[in-house]
Amino acid sequence: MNDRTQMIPPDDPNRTRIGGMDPNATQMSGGVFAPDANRTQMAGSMQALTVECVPENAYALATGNTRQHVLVKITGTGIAMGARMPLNLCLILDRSGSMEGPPMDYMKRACGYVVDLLEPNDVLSIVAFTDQAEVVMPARKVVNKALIKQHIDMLQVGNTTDLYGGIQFGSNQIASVASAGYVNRALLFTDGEPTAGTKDFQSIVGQVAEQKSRGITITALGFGMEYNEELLAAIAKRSGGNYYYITRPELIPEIFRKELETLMNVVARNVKMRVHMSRWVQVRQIYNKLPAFGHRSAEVTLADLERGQTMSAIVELELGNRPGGKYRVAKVEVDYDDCVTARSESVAGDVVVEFTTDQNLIASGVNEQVQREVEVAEASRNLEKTVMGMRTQQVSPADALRELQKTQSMLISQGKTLQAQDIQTAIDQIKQGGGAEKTLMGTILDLDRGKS
Amino acid sequence: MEDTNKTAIGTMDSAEATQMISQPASNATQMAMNVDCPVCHTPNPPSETYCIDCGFLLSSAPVAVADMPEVPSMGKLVTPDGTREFPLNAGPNTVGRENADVLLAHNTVSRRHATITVADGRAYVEDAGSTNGTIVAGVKIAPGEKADLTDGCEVIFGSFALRYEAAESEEPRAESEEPRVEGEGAPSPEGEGWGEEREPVEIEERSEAERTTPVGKLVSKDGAYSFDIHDGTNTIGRREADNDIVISDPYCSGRHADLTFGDGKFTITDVGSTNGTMINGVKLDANVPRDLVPGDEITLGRTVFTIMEGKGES
Repeated sequence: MNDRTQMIPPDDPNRTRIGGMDPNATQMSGGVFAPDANRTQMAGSMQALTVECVPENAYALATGNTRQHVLVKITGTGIAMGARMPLNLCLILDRSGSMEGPPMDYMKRACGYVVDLLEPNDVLSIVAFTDQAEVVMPARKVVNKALIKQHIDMLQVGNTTDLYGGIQFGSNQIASVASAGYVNRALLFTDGEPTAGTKDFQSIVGQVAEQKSRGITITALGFGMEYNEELLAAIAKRSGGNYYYITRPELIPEIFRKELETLMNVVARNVKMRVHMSRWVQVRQIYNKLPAFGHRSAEVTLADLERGQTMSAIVELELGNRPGGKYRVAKVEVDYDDCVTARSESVAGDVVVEFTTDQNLIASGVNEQVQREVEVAEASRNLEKTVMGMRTQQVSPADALRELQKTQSMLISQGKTLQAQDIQTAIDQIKQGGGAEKTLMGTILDLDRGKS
Repeated sequence: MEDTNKTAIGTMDSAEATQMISQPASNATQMAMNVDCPVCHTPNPPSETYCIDCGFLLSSAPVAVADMPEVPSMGKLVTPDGTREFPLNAGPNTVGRENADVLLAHNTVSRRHATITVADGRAYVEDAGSTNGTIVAGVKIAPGEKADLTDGCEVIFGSFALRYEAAESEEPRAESEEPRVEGEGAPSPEGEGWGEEREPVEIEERSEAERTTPVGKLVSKDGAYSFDIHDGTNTIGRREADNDIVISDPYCSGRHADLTFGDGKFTITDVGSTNGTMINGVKLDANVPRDLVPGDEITLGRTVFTIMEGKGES
């Protein structure tokens, strides 16, 4: 294997060689996905993503059916590879009656911050919705910041909430700019249930999925106690954007700033992971995802990745008996749009397992890191059950607290400090007699994505 | 050991030496054109490190495990389009949506749905009290019933349909075996390898729900909704993943109520919804079942429903 690697000439513009873990495997995918030599040369020096596949056990029993988890770690490069791609951003703002007073004031201030943070190359559009949606400012380069702020200042509260219309108008503004060369994102800010226009959950989430297929990602920002956390979390989940719960109006600007910073660090968009199974291998499940199964393949869509960020997915495989020896049981291919070069790229990693009848080898091959990650992935399911139980009042606050504390200590022991903090927030909310669902929805989304 | 040729060359005359050298050289040329996998015999392009079909590391030699007791195949379940297989093991195999041997991530499949037992050369299914039931070869199985699976028969868990393939149709894997045939025709690198990709097939959500005979319909007064009600418990709510009956009304909770049919009558239970469930304008207490009589008006969120019995019977 090493010899083969050396046979690749050092000046080979094989872009996948650096990104993939196995030079030979990725060489193959280069042939399939990189017919354009120019492209590979330009991106050749560094790929935005790397993929690593770690099986739960380096060995498997050759004489029977066995199951094994595989940890797939997808990491955004930590190195700044050049100027960030300009943003094509749309602010989709709720100006329904309930926004009256401080919420409206802080929302305007938050939008002002966004304008300040953007650069002349970035594109901004503003859409507001109440009984109907309207375009406050069509997509334009952020050159005259004072003028844009004037538009924002003129926003006034209305009555009801046409969330669907807001998403539609906002997406159209983003789509009105040729997408190549931009990071697209809509920031949807709302404080309530949809009460005007198309209101039902399926239609709204369906539209979000449609916009995602056009390359438009939506970050959902929920403010106050009245919004529908299930809907907003579903919007974020479907479109690969983020979800925020903003408890107090004075926090609105800070959260907008945080999201914008995140956006400016996105290195890969439209991330898709495809697991190719070798013969005698089945994918049982991909934790917290609903894969589309094809001929010997299972595919899932993943969220955008930021610089230096790692996203993990856990794939459970069923391995059939076979003659002993080393096998690549699966190949994991990740396709994405590179946000620096604006090109479609692909990296791949191999899952290699040695089949043996030696029980000692099998006992020695266990990777505890993978087992810990499985536990974390399962925590998300437990949290979902707790949230559901709290809503239906089948789980008492005392039981919910016990469950949350259990999950929290597990997360702390696995080094998931951020999620453990979220759970502490939820615990405090329950202790104060409030609902914790809006907080926990974000934690579940985080854990589902395996981001760290 | 790599020196045997070298030594031989030194002691032989030149003609023999040439022969000796030409032998491995011609082999090498063949290798560069094609590498047959020693395990599954699939021809591989020379650039491959791992067999494009079975994944075997081509630079290594397989280890015979023939001295180990032969593992007989216990058959498998296969999706109708052939894209997914669920191998069965000897003894009981649990079927369900979570932590099951046959893991079916589908919203009509219960967490613990059924058990398939493979023993004494036969395989049979028992339903574990699932919400949406189990159908074997077109017949819904009764509680406690052991329904035998025959080669090629259809088994439906909830609305997730699978085909049972008995052990005989599965060829054992050994070094000397021909490649196992999947679908029609022997595998070729083009058709079965990594290169060609079929479109991912999405599992139909509820399209096959009609396969179980509904006992009635839940119909909204404005005619906008009409849902089949099945025997047993039908969960109602706004959230797609958790409900048999999905009502996209924002005033309906994610999990709103359970509608049950049993002993010839319909019962509704509010499961703690935010905006409540009303029968003829009277709000129900949470988690207290209420029997329904024909003509009752059921308000879920903002939508008013009535039940039509026995639809879809004929």
